[in-house]
Amino acid sequence: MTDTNSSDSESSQHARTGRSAESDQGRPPASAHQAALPPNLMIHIGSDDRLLDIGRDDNLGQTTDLVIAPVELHRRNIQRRYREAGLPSVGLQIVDHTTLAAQLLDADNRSTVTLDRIDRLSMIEALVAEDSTIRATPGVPSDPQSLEQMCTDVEFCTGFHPERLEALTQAIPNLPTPIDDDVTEILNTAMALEGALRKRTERAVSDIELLRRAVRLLWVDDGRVWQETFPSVDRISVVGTSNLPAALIDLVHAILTVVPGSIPVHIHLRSGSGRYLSRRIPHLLSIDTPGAVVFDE
Amino acid sequence: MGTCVPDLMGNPVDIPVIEVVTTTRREEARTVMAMVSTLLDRGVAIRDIAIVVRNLNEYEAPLDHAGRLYGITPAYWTQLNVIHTQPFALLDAVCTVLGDDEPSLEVLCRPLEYRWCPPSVLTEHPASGDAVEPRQIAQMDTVATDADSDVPTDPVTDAQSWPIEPATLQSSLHALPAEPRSLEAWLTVVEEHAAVDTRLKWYLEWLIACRSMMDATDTHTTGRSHRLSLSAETIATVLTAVLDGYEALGLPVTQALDSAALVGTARDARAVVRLQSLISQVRAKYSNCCLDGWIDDSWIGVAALLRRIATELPGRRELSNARAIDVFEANDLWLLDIPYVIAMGLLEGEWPRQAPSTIPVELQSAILRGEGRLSTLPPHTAWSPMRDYDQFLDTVRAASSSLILTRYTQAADDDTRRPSPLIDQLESTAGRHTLDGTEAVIPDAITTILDAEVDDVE
Repeated sequence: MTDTNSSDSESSQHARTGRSAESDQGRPPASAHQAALPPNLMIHIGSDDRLLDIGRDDNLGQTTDLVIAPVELHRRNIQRRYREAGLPSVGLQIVDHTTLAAQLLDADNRSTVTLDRIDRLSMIEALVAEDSTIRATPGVPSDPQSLEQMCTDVEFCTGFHPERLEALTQAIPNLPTPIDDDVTEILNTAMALEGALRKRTERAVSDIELLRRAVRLLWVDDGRVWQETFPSVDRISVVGTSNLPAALIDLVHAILTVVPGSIPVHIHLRSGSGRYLSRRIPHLLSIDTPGAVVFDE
Repeated sequence: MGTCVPDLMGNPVDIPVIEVVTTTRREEARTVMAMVSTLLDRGVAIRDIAIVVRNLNEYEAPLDHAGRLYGITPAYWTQLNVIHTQPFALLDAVCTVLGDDEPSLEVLCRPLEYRWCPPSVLTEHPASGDAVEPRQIAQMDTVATDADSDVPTDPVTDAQSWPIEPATLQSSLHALPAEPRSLEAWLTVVEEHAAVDTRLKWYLEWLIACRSMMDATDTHTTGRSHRLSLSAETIATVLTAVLDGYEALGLPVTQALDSAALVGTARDARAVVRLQSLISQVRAKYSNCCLDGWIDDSWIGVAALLRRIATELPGRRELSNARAIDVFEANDLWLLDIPYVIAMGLLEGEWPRQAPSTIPVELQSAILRGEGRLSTLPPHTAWSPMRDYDQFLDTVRAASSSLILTRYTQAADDDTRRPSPLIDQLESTAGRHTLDGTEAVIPDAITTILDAEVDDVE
């Protein structure tokens, strides 16, 4: 394997501070706010081959790793590389975030039935047909596909979390006219649609909402359900992602806060976006009650 | 925007990088297949070569075509999860109703929510009481049921009135009892409720006819042992009829509701094509899967088989064809280690390309900058070139012997296509080459470069 980019050299010196599972003691923090990172959070950039080290480190089978890989083919790629390298994958659990959420909710005997995107589209189509006010404004798209996409886009960067929505609302006056009005309408419509979907069904209205339900569960029960579900996991990695959507970073936040024993959490960022995202992570973690939403439960 | 662009110049790669320039996209695809063929002739194992594209939609057809010319089958590792498409949901929902002796209202109406339409090839209405032949199911169409046939605007007979629009369906649903019952009992209920749309009656008759096909084949048992109550032929006929109905009448609804870029329509249309081949796989595998006890001989078994085949991603492990070449979308190559990587479509505006979003650009910029409390909001890296840089860097990283970057210069509308800025940023300590030409000459030129490389090493 070839080291091909500038981030690689940086990656071996994880952009993080605090206690470390690995050795780069004495390196000063890359910037002041990184001091705010929880001590058991490690950030790596463009060093995905390190994942294979999990297997190499663990020839004795003493470590159990939970690897969260949101992209389906990435999970296959990890297994393929392990096979090709002849590494043991006994202590390795590779999951996507939805499966992880379902496992946690299941352990607490909660429903994991979820609307998929097709259900959501059908339901949005019906909602729009019933209530024409949903798309009566100029700043908002009119077709169900775009409306659904708009909900997803707003969800991506807010998670419908009260603090993030508040921050967004406060930033609106700084936007040029008429974008300020458009954004107000986008926010109102997205929240109205998501709220209407939630009223219409008992099911989680999306995979992302399922994940948030799991995050809220972790948060309120103080990590008890985590220990029941993953009693032997002693290292967690998030891999292969170019993005840290609100629900995913809130999951990391909850794990870091409530899972006992300060289990190390490694976020492996990719070479192009890694440095930028790594600087953002402390801010993304600086909210209260991860997974909370503005809707009535 | 407060983003950072990685400095590729700072870190040259240590494998040869060959840039290949052709005239058109089709020629680019043919040249790539010619190169693959040449590499195979030189003894490179096919598993040691991968083709990478930024977006499969534009390259699937040209690669299929070029592959046929060179006797190489592209195996697409695609993220199109057909299970998460509307046409798949429709087939699944139809199997579920047919497999349920007493469907609930929700189960009964799900196919209509997914835009079930009467199969569109029109001839005659099956005579009541007779055993229904599969062909008739396929042909049941917008023929009037009884005395209504002379009313020109009967919603049941008018193809324009299908699929049932969501609001109408919802009001019919509100008027009906939710409790499970047999299809025949549902038919009676629907006939008794004046408020219920008459098209539901037509739909129920179609379901009952499909069910009777199962009974019909059952009563005509031959001397063959292990006669299944549901024949593979029946399954394929019913599912094909449903899919044809979707293609003819459901897909236009997707298009009408779609955004200007028609992303949803393209996705649905691709899913229809995938599902056609999936149905033929079900036809081929159903009997054996039943006899092996993998699935039940029922419509529930059909649904399980559909799901199982749909979740099998195409790829090396599933293909016995020795001439199948892996084709990846750029995001999916992450972490792999492959000697020869051929990345296609390195064009300005294509790679990197910023994703369309419903969030206005001004707000995207503000979130990317993350001033004040906006810093608590995660930015989407596809709002900048960063996400595509990720994918390009992981493509480069995956190549361990040589990296071939291809592009074309002329679009279908005769516009000139410029190279991606990513090409110029990539430096190599093992040499950079640019080859401009056709499929007839480029493979030989590449051979020369690779041979020289081997000599150097030796």
